[in-house]
Amino acid sequence: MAKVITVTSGKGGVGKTTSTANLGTALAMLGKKVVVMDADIGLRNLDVVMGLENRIVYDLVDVIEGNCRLRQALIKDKHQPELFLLPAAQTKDKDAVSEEEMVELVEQLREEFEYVLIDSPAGIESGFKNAIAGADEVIIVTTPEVSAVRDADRIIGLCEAHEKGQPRLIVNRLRPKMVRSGEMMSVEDVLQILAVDLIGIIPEDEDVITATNKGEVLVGDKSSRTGKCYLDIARRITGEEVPIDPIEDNPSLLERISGMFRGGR
Amino acid sequence: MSILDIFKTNKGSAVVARERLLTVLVHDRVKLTPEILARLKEELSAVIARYVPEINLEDIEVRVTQGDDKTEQLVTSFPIRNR
Repeated sequence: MAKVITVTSGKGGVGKTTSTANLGTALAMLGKKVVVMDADIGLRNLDVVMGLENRIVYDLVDVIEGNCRLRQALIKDKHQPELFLLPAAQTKDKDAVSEEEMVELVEQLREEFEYVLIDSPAGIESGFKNAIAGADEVIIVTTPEVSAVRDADRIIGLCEAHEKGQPRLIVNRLRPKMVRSGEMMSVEDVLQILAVDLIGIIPEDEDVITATNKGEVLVGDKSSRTGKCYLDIARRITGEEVPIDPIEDNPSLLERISGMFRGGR
Repeated sequence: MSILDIFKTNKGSAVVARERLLTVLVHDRVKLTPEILARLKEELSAVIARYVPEINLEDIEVRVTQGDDKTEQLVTSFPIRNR
């Protein structure tokens, strides 16, 4: 049975696209057949983050409008043979597709792939609604900052209203030094406020910028701690119990996190 | 808390962020706009006045707070007119 997961956030710029690219690659590294779909119609970025921008011929709007077959729009990843990208349209906007059309498209993808990861646009309007329409589960990305957490809270409410169940959280761009000096909220602060399960923590890492510049993903780099964090999240997505690298040095956080994994998921 | 903490006048900004977030989210989650709040007070006044005419209708308070167990609560109070 295929699993369809939407990666969303509310706030823009917190790491949805980076996370989708890394998690898609990681799942493929674990031997799964994966498609990552860019649902940010009009402002596509998943292609560029993965270095596949020169290979786009057709996009998801072409598929929905019947201008091409699904196979023709899917782009094979440069590194992972079982990873494919379905790009967004760049010249249309979010109203080019409906929720029903997205659900139908997702149903087609379910037949070919074990995992479908949907990169959601920022916001709460039709782009977001289209992105979650076909989803089985939602992963929310936030950073430990006031605006991002506030927006994530709204998204959590909307996911429940759209009957997508309890979303799981990635806390991204954590800076342990700032947490220690009391100038950044800790993961525990964020979890207390949002009250959802944590699926992973990603540190702030300049290598993300370098990798995006080159159209590479960090998860392919064995020496990258950030890459390992993403790989571990992918493992948890497949149901494996993997202890979370807390990045910070916080005993009560470790206690809370290990409590979450005793039951497994 | 050591004796040195008494001299610390600077709260780390993370603590401030957390407090502000908790306050803002209590209001975001309940979605009580000023219009809805005004209508709520009017209707509450009408009901209460039927049973307790001594209530001072102008002084009815309706607010959203966070209880000790972290759940949001809608709290109303009805001051009784002094005889």
